[in-house]
Amino acid sequence: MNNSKDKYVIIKEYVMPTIVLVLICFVVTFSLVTTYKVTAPIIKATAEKSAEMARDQVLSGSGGFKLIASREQASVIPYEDNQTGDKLENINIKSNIIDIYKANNGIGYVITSVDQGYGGEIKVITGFSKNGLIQNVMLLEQKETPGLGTKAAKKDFTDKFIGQDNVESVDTISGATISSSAVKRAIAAALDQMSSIKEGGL
Amino acid sequence: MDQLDTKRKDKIGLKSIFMNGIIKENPVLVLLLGTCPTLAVTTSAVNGLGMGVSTMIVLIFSNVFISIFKNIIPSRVRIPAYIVIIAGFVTVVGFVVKAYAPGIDKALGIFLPLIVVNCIILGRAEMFASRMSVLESTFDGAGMGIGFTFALLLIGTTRELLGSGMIFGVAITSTLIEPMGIFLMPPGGFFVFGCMIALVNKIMKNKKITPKQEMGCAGCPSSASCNLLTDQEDLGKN
Amino acid sequence: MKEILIILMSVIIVDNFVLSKFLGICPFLGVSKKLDAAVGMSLAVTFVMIIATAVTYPIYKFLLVKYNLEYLETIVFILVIASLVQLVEIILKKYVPILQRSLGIYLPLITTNCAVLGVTLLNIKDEYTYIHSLVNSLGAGIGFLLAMVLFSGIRQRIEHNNIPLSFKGVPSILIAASIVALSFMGFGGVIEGMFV
Repeated sequence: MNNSKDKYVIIKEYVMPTIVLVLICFVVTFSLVTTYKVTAPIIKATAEKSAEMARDQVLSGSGGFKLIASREQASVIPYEDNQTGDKLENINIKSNIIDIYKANNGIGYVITSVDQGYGGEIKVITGFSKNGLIQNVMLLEQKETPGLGTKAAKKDFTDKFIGQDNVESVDTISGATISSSAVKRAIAAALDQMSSIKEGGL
Repeated sequence: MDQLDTKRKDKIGLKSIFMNGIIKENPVLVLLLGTCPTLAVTTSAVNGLGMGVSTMIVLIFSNVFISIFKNIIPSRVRIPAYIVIIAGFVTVVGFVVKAYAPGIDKALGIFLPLIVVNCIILGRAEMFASRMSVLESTFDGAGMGIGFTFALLLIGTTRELLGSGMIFGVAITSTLIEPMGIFLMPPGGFFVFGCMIALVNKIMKNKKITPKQEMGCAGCPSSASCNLLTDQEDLGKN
Repeated sequence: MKEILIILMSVIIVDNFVLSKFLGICPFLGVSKKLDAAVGMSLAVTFVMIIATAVTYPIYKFLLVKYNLEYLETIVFILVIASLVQLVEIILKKYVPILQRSLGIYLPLITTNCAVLGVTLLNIKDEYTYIHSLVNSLGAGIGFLLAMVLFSGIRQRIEHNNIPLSFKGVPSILIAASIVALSFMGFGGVIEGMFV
C-alpha cells in the first residue's frame, strides 16, 4: 500500500513536471520554427535591400550589381560576363576584403573592406570606376569614439578620397589618428584588390 | 501573502494596476530592475524607444500566456517554464525587429536577446502573472512596459541631447555648442542614470511615497543577498 | 599565446564587462557592498561563465549550425545555463559542501545574470574559436571580479561620507561607477601596440 502511494508521489513530484516542461519546450520550439519560416525571407530581403542601397550610394548609375567574390564563399567564384566576355576566374580575394561586386553595366566595381580601428572593426565600402579611380567612400560599420573617431566617418573626410588612386595624399585627422588611419588602410586594401582586378585577376 | 493578495485584488482596479507600472513602481527608476539594458541602449532616444517597445511586447505576451497557463504549469518547474516561454517571445520579437527595423536591431545588438534575462519580465511573471487573471496581467504588463519605455526614453533623450546635440536624430544644439561625447559612452551612462534616480528619490521623498518592495525585488532571485532592499529601507526611515 | 593575452587584457581591462559592456549590472549594484560577498559572487559567476561557454559553444557549432537552427540560440543557451546552474548547485551540495555554503546563495541569481548569457552570445557573435571563447569567458569573469572588488572598496569608503540625501545609496554608486568607467576608458587603444 505504501509502495504504490510512494510511486504516486514520485510520479506527481518529479515525472509530471518534467513531462510538462518538455512539452512546453516542444511547443515553443515548434512555434519558433514556424515563425522563422515566415520571417526569414523578409529578413533576408531587408538585409539585401540595404546592402544594395549602400552599393548604389558609392557607385551610382550601375544598373545593379553582381557578386564576383566574397570572403565567405571561398576565395574564387568562377565568373564570366556574358556581354563583354570578361573572365575573372582567378580573382584572389585578399585579406581585409569582404566582398567584391561588379556593376551590371560594366562602369566599375564596389569593394567592401575592413580594418581595426580604435574601438573595433571599421567596415568601409568603396566604389571604383573601371580604371580603378575611387568614385565614393562610405563607412558601413564603426565603433569609434563619438565626436572624435567618428570624424573619420564624416563626408568631409571620406570625400577627400574621391578621384584618387592611392591614399597617400589624404592626411589623417588630428585627434582621430587611429580611426582615420584605419579608414585609410581599409581603402588602401580595396585599392590593392582593385589593381589586381585591373590586371586580369591575379 | 495570499491574504494580502486577495485583499489587494479587491481594492486594485485595472486602471491602478496600469498606472502603478508607470509611476509608483516604475521598474527602472523605482524598483531598479532591468538596469543593464537601461545603461547600454540609451545612447539615443530612438534606441531607448526601440528597446522599450520590444521589451513591452515580450512582457505583455509572456504575462498573458503565463497567466493563461498558470494552473497547468507545475510549481516545481515554473521558473524554467517561464524562461522557455519568455525566450520564445524574445526570439519572435527578434525576428520582427530584424525584418522591419534592421537599424534598431544593429543598435541594440546582443541586448535584444538579453531581454530574456531582464529581471522585470521574470519578476512580473513570478509575482503577478502567476497569480492574477489574464486581464489584470495584460494591464500589468502594459503598465510596466510603458513605465520601462518612459524611463528609457527619458534617459536616452538626455544622453542624446548632451552627447550629440540631437533628439531623435534632429539637431537641436549640435550646431550651437560642441556636444559632450562622454555622455554617449559608459561613464556618461552611469552618470545620467545616477542623477535620474537621485531626482526620483527627491520627488518621491517630497510626496512621501514609500516604494513597495515586495512586488519588485522578491521576483528577482537575488533578493536574499541583495542590499538594495536595505538601502531603500534606510532611505525610507530618513 | 599572444592572442590569448590580447583577449584577456582587452576583456578584463579595456572592454570590461561591467564598466564598458554594461553586463552584470544588477549583481554589481546589489552585491558589491561587502567584500566577501563580492568575491564570492564573482567567483561563482566566473565558474558558471566558463562551464556555460564550454557547453553552449559545441552545442551551437555541432547542433544548431548543422541543422540551420541558429535562431534557436537564445532559447537553447538560456535553458543550458539554467540547467547548468541547477546541476552545479546539486553537485556542490553533494561533493563540496563548503563551496555550496559560501557560493550557494548566489547561484540562482546567476541564471538571470545578463553577463553569463551575454558572454555565451558574444563568443558566437565575435566568432572566437573554442579555446579563445573559454579564455574570453575566463577574462570576463576576472573583469567582473575586478569591478566588484574595486567597488566594494569604494562603497565602504563612501558609506561614511556626507552624501546629499537624494543621492544616498544607488545614485552615489552609479556616479562612482561613472568615474571608474572613465578611468578604464584610458586603456582603450593600448592593446594594439602592447604585444607587438
